[in-house]
Amino acid sequence: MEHLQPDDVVAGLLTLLSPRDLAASRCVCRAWRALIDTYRLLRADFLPFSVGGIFFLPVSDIAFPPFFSCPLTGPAICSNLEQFGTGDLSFGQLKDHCNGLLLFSEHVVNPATGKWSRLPLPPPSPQPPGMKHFFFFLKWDEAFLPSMTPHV
Amino acid sequence: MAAPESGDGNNGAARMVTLISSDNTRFEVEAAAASLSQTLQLTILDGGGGGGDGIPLPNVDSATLSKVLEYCIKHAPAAANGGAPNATAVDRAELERFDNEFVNIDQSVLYSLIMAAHNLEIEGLQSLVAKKVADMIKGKSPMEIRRTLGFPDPTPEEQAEMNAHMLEYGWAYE
Repeated sequence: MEHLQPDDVVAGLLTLLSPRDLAASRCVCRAWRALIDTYRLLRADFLPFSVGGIFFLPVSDIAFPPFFSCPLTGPAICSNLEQFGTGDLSFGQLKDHCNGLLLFSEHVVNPATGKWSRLPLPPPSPQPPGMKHFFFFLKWDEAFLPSMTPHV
Repeated sequence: MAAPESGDGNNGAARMVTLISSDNTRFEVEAAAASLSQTLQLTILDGGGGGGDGIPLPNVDSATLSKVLEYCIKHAPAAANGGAPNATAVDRAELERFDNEFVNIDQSVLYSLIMAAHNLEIEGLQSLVAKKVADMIKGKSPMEIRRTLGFPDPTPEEQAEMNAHMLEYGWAYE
């Protein structure tokens, strides 16, 4: 099947696949990947979400949030966020979360990939005029007031 | 089998045409069955393929052609009814059973069928074989897809490329 030609035969075949199978087929070989990209077959926004578990937002001063996952499969995601750091790094208390990312007072962590990065320093006052920056800055400092951000 | 008729009655009892495979085997089939092929349909409407002439199919070998014709003969009656609006549920179930069994074949045959269905433009057969291959891909990882479809093992370079791309949407099928 590797030398299946012409392209429209393969493309016709690929159109029958679900987004999940297209995502896998896209890795099969260069030719398939080119086809899937050229014909824009893969709608990444239709890909299924796989839920590895649920973080519970701490209400009290817990170092990292409790993580619940299916006991049969075991946690696919490392819930001990301290392990992501390089030993003595501590993220402190969880502030917020969005799209699977966790926001700490000085870091953003992706628990699924184990990657984290330090937040940029807040803009010096006076605050920039853009509403987005304004919002970001306020939220970070947990001084978020809904009435002050009409666009959200 | 039946003597070729040079009569003009379209609906007359089974006008036959002759198809000649790439390895020079002659197949005599009803014109209605061969006409499932868009490629052949015009030639047949023009009266070609009758008598001793035969229509040469240089891209299709005899093993594949006999398989293709098996499909066409089975599907011709339903196609003649215009997509079979008055076919009974039993007929449709029977066709479905035939289709499922039809594509339960060796991969090299399936591959030849894909190409033949494409060259001869037999719509139903095209979607049937495509669906079969899609089913073979379903639920598999990139490496499993390669093995299932008989791709050779990736070179280290290809493997590295695969791994890199698997990071992009890997979460969707891991």
